[in-house]
Amino acid sequence: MACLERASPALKRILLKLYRENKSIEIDHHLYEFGSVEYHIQSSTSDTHYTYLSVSTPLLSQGVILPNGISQYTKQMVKGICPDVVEIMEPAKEGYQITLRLDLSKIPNGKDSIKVIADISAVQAVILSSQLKEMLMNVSSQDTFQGMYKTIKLVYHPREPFFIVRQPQKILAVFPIRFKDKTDVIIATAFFQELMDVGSSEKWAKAPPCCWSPIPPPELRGEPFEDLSTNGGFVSFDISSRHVKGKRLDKTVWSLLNFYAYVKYHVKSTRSFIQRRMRKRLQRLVEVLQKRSMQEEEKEEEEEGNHKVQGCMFMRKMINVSKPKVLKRRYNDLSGKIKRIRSRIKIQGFGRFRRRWLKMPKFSSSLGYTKLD
Amino acid sequence: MSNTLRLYLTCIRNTLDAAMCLQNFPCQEVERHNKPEVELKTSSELLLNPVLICRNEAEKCLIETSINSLRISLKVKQADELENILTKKFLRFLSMRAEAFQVLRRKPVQGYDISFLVTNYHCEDMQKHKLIDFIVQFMEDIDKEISELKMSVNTRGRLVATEFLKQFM
Amino acid sequence: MAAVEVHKFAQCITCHAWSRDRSMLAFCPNNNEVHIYALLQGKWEKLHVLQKHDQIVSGIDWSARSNKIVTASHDRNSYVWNLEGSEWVPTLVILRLNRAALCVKWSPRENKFAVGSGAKTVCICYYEQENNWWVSKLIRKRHDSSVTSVAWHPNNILLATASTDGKCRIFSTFIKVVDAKESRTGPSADSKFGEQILQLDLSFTWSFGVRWSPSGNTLAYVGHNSMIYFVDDVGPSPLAQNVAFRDLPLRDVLFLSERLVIGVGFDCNPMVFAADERGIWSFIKFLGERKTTSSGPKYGSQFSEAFGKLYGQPKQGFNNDTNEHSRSRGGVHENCINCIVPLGAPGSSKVKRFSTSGLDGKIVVWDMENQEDLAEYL
Repeated sequence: MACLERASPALKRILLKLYRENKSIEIDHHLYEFGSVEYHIQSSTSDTHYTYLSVSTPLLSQGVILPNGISQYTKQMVKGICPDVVEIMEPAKEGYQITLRLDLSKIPNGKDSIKVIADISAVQAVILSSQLKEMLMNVSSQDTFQGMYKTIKLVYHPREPFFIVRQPQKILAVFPIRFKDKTDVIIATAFFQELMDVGSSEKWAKAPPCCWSPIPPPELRGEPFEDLSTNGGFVSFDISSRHVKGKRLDKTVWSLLNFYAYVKYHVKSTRSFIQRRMRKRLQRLVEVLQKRSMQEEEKEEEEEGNHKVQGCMFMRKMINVSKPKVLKRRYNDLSGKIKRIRSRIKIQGFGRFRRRWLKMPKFSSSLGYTKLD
Repeated sequence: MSNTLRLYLTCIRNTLDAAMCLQNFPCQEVERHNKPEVELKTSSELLLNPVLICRNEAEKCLIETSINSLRISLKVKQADELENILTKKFLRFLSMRAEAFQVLRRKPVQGYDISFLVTNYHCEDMQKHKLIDFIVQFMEDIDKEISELKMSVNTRGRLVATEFLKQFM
Repeated sequence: MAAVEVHKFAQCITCHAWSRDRSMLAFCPNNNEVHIYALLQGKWEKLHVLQKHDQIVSGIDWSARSNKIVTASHDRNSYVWNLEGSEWVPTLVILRLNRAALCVKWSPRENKFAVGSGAKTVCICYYEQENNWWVSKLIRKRHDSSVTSVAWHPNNILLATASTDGKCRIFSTFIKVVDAKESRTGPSADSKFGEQILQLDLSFTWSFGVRWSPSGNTLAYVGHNSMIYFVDDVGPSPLAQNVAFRDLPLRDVLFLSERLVIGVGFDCNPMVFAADERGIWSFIKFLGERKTTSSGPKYGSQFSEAFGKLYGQPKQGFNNDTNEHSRSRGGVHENCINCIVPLGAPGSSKVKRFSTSGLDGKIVVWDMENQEDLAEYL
């Protein structure tokens, strides 16, 4: 799934190019992804050592409190991608949250090089997940408030907030689902049902149990009304300590952060799948039609030799009307009109007079038309 | 096939056989026009009483007959919302290519999912029993088509769900 | 087999008519033309195409004595065609209609003809010698819907009409300049032009196909509710009989004798009705042999299959499917029969032959000679 790839493909390509050309090219690129993520990559031939990568990304926030830039923890995580190559510049470039100075020459040769570049390209993902990790860690250190566990509202995309509820044994992640289109809601709902089905089977006992319900879970009591009104219900995951231990933490955090994107992507591709399938079905039916009309055409040509049978003019040949036929039909219309003009009423002896003065085609050919010279 | 469906379709088939007695009939209201009376509804004496055949509340078939045309409107079974949107989408898809199907009406009659309009020209052009076969078979297979579509949408959902859960393992 | 000749001249035929000696045949192939075929050395050849109308031709009648063809069309016009030399010369008849003409019939003496129309009127047309002109007089009132069929009483005065308002009416068409005093007999003795003699309100729905018996004593017409109505003693106190049948409705009828009627219509097979000694009419049988191909519907096949059957085969093709879902009609005609014309042998009052044409484009000639079971009615 493309949208779930951590590394930005475009960024990766540019870095690879830079790496392979041995930094002997001039580059000044602005890249935009998902509408809100911006990369600025700068490399000049005069400065042969370093490439500068600046990143601007919407930050994960806890509701109204806006974080003041990137935390120290995040910076450390970014630095940790590949300490030899990456260095964080202070302060960051104007308009960006973080600027990295990359020393591509330090990238180890061989197979690892591609992996390191991919890791660097995933810098935005690292920023994002380390923010969530940090929050989760902070939550654990906080005390319970009046016997209730505190609910954190996380906003990454302004219109898609989700909630994290810390409980003694587990963390509850709740996603309110909203879609603009009714069809999307239905496809998504069908997906959530499958998700619950699959998750509850024995094989997936280790995965976090998930649950979909049209009404908000009790843990969200007290949250603002606009957050609790959805058209697609609520999906919640019970994350136990097992899922946030060691290496799994990274995966879990990433999956949660991308749950919306995942669902949206599924809905979109399902819609196009339905469309594709219907088009194929229709195509097959239309093929049958065309085969028939071809047979008909042949048959007609045979018949035309013996005696022309016009048949009913209104409904036949709705598909594939050949050009000469259209012209012929138009001609028939025209000649019909001429005929009407020619003689409404028969006047004795007028025929001779008319023939002399008005050179009109004579309509007695058995074919129904005569050629105008 | 369930017994009730067989009865339902047989009833529709027989009604269509009786109703599809159409003839060329020019418009009484507008000079030099020849339009399906069942659509115009300008001369009440040229319309017959409509027949409504119901299998249950959700599935019904309305047959409206006039002297030169016949309108068959279907309401298809929709057990859940997914079936509902799939049916709507599929039938709309077909309606958009109505000119290829000739007897399909571009827009369904209000309250129904899909409508057919059969005129005397169709009866001149095609064999009546084949026309009836087509419509009945269409009804029979629309159900099948929708449930197949629904099944594959669900299968996709299941695969995608499995993939998602794999990330936690 | 009662069908003695089967010709397929076109995809679809709306109406047909024969010349007096049956050597020529005129029909409309469901368009604005009239084709005339003639029997030349045992083969039917197309001799003429009459092109004057610009919409579908709905009625053709060929007068036996004067050899004139009258045509009526949805374009609101009628033409009288006269054979001059080797060409058919048309004369336009100003019908004064503002809607389609639906049917046309020469009167028995061929000095008038009647046109039924979608304008809810009937035109009676006659020839005015002084002006060299066909004049049309309209019966304007009475009809509440289109006039679908007209039939002349043998007395040349009474005209019966069938209409989609469900009624059958009888009018006087007495026109002073045409109908001499002595021809006025019977109930129409002192009626004026356009006067309604009788209105029959037997059918709940559209009526079509009206005819008089050869003597003019009985009138028959059909209703779209699969009924045929027989009316005796047309006059102040008529006697009516309704005969219902279980098959699809009829479009037209024809009296072969005072006691035998053939009805044709959507069932694609001529139906025989006869009156017993007491004058009670009933359905006797289908004239054409009917293959019983109707078999139990086959279910579970794919959508495409029915689709292919409908669209994939050349239309009007012969039916080779052994496993048809619906009842295929299996007779000589494969689609609705909408026209039936008597073929009386010249010089004989008995009509033993007739021809039918329909939407399948066939013209079929039927002979009643060998129908022993019907001989008593003829």
